[in-house]
Amino acid sequence: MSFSVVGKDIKKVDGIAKAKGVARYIGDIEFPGMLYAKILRSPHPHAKVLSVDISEAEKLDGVHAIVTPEHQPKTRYNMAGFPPNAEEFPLIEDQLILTDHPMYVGDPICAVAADTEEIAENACKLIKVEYEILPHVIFAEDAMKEDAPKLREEGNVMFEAPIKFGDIDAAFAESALIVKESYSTQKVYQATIEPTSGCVAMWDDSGKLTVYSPTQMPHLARKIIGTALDMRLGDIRLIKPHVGGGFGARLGLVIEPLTALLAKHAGRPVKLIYTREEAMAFSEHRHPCKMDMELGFTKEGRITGMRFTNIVEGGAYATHTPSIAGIVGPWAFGMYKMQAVDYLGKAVLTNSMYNGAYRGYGNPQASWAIENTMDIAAEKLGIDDLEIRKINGFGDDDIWPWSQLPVESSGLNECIDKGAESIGWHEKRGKKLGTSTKPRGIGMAVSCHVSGAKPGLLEISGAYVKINEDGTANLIIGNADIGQGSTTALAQICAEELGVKFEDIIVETDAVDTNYTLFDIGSHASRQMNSGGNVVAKAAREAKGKMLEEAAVMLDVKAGDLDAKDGIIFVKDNPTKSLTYGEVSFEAHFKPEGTQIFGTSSENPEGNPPVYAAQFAEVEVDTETGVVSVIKFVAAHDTGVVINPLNTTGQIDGGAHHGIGFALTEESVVNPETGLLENRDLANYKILTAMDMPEVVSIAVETPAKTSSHGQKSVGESGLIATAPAISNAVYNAIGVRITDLPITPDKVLAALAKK
Amino acid sequence: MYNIKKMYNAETISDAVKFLTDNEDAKIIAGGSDVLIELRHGKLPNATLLNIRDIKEMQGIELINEDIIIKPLSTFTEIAENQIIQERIPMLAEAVNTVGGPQVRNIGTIGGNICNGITSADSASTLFTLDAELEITGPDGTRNIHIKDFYIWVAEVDLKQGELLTKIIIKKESYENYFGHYYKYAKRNAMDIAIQGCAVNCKLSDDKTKLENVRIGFGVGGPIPLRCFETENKAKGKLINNELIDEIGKSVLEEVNPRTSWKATKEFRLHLAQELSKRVLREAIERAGGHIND
Repeated sequence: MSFSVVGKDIKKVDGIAKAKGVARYIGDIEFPGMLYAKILRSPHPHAKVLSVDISEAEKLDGVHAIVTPEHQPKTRYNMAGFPPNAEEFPLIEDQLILTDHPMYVGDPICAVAADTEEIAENACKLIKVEYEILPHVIFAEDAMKEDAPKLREEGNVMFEAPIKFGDIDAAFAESALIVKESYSTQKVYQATIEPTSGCVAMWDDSGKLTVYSPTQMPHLARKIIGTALDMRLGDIRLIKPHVGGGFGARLGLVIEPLTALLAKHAGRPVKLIYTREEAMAFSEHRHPCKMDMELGFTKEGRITGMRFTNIVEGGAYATHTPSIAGIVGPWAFGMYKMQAVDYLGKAVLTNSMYNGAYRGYGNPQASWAIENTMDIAAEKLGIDDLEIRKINGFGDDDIWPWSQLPVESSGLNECIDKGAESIGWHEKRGKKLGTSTKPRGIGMAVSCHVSGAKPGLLEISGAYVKINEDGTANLIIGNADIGQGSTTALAQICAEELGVKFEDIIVETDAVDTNYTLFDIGSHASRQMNSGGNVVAKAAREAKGKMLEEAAVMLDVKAGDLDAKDGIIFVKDNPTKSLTYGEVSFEAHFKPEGTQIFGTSSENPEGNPPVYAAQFAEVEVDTETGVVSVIKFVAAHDTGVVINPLNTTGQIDGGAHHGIGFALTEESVVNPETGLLENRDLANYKILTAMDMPEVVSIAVETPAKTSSHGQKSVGESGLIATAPAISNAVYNAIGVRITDLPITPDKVLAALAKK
Repeated sequence: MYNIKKMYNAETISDAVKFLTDNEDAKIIAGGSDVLIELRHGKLPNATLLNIRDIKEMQGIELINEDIIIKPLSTFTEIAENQIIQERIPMLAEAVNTVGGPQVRNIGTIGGNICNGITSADSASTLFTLDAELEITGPDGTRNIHIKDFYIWVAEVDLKQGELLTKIIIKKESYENYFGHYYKYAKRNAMDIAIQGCAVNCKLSDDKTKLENVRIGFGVGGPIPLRCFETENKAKGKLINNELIDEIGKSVLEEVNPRTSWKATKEFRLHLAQELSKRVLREAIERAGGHIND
């Protein structure tokens, strides 16, 4: 099918404003009389607050409000943004806005609103808090020991997710090979360019609350704020300004209820902005996982079954942890066909800042385990790495076990072939590359991911298209463009379906307002092109249909004889007989009994087509220093039909950047004694710079989905999932040793080489 | 955010010396790439700052009787692009080019890099191997000391009340016929602090077969930058071959004293010291026209 706007390299609608520095982010939002807030946080990883004395702080000039645990509603809530059907992942509501029983270093005890940030900070220093220090535990494996401090009555394992199907014992009994290996992944930081988080909150005279929040999910964030503050949702208006990156870090709330509570007590607008250090130390990172995997194979390389246990380090509150414990297993058996699975995920409480969503949502961890295991198996079975993956992959007609929905179309094999060709797999693999002290190797890994969260989570999206009297159209959507460019791509779909030029779609990325947009679950699970695309296309088609009907009257033809392109409505058989969108809309508005033409749609998408990718790395290992350098990286992704090639490449490149950092340099280091994050700035937390990135070749394989509006699937999260194991497999190919605990650091490489 | 009580802009060295003498708690600010971060982190509450950026006498790079005079306000970019440096001591250009990124190198000064007293300073180990002399100016005039005596302990340098660094001098005999190399080992190729830095500067015999003299410097080999004098003495006059390089790699381990932190273990840093000294020495010898025989 040929499209006129879909598939075109259209620049992000907010790109110029951002490049010029005029786009307003949360830090830029100001109101008359606004106050600035700072939080007094627990310096102890586990303690009881015996007393709080705010008398000195209150006397400080410029202080307008201080809130303590006494001032808050007693309703517990969960920060994570889940719709209410999250039956598979119980939503443990265990958090209060402020606490007198801090569970991690940084747990908010009090907060101050003052004329300046500096005054607020000084006031925090004047608050006297008396603590009883309690024993703490930082790492999951320690928290599971019998003598570990008990963080909850019920024990430190807050949730267990067993998933079983088939007969694993029988599957293993008939296996020619069983590969058994232990893996671990580290805690890592999303590193959004705009630090997480910030918030502006204010109340009006009638008791209605307005919150400006840089969230990924405006409607769900409003819902959690309502729970935390014990309010009617309709009385809360949430507005999402420009957002400098999400990657899961804004998948729910960060500090909105506290800001609102302060604003209520101060009676003035309050702004609370985290410093980079606060954002790093006191917002959610990716869960570290300790995984044991056993994978059985026939001698032909077909997977028979998988036994998989996974300990997920959650931190001090539940948030996303039970969900992550539940989903890592399905990511693994969502990649390959297997007859039998015995998975057990455990969600563990500890006294560190809680972990949450980060691009891939448990899939990078699963991929690390299964894709290293596949590499081991391929070698033992003497089967080519590419082949063993093709043998086990899903076909178009399969039901995908992750979703229990049809696969629709799989571009896995094409991704493997195109990626292999680009990296020079067949020429290089099996050859000695590099020098004796700097050997080179190539490796690969594949991945699957979703185009939404259906059916595990509700998928409702909403769009509203109204045609202005001059023929331009407003596209009003409740989803959050957080920098990924989803709104630009959705506007392309809108223009395509209306039959107008892209420039005639008016869309905003910086003012998603829950008062004026239809409900949308939010930007998570790489769902905007599938779910958002579905409702935008339907709303646009509805509006277009009405436009054609109006035009039909004006042209004295049947609506079915008409079509529209580039803003011109024309008779299909006689294109010179035509009207412009402006002429038709003007007539619709201003004829007697006129009406404005619009279209709306609010629904769940029909499917959830999985996306596949094959990634390839060529690495060089300095055997004297242990340094691994990625020389070239190839990422071939089945994205479905590409709506916007520029954005698609950007997502794949960005994913590679996240993934290579995850593989080699990034690690959030928590000190087990103090409980504090050691590297809480970007000097000490090593995201890769432009000087560190290798050449990245991104390849889009456009295997059309059957259920989405234009055959599109997703590309938001999939970029980083196969990256770390592809690099690990390349390292093994270079030096014959495998590092199973991420990241692959020089000291681990040297130690492994010494043992070889 | 920036809790500054007072800031004074000095226009001359004597002006600065007077202010420093009168204000015991004054903190010198030049490029600001370190001081502003400390201020923002609240480590310099109620700061009294002495801004020396505008002091003309402290700017520029000169050649006097073939001695190289680097004024402390020279930025890393100025040093890296300077012809005197590039032609005579290119290893210093190489070293300062590893600092941070372009923006940091455009504001950061070599004087600040040294006076900060931090072991990871990228210019320091190279200046150690260039036998740099520092001119310190105070109320009683000037005094010159070898850079190795300037460093006392972590963030502690030999600057007394009223004193400031006014010149970095690299004598002709310290660099003539010497060839060197600096290698920064860090987790990233930019915007990073060295896990370890190693500088080697060597002079070969006329026939290029012997090490006539070698100087080995380390950053993060201990709490302050250091030289491996004993190893250097042992290596002096020795025939260049792989055995010698291995010997030197082992010998430096007796002279470095790194510690374990969350960034790297002592064992790993010791391993690096051995590997880097060998690697950097090889490169320095090759630059000097030598050849390493098996």
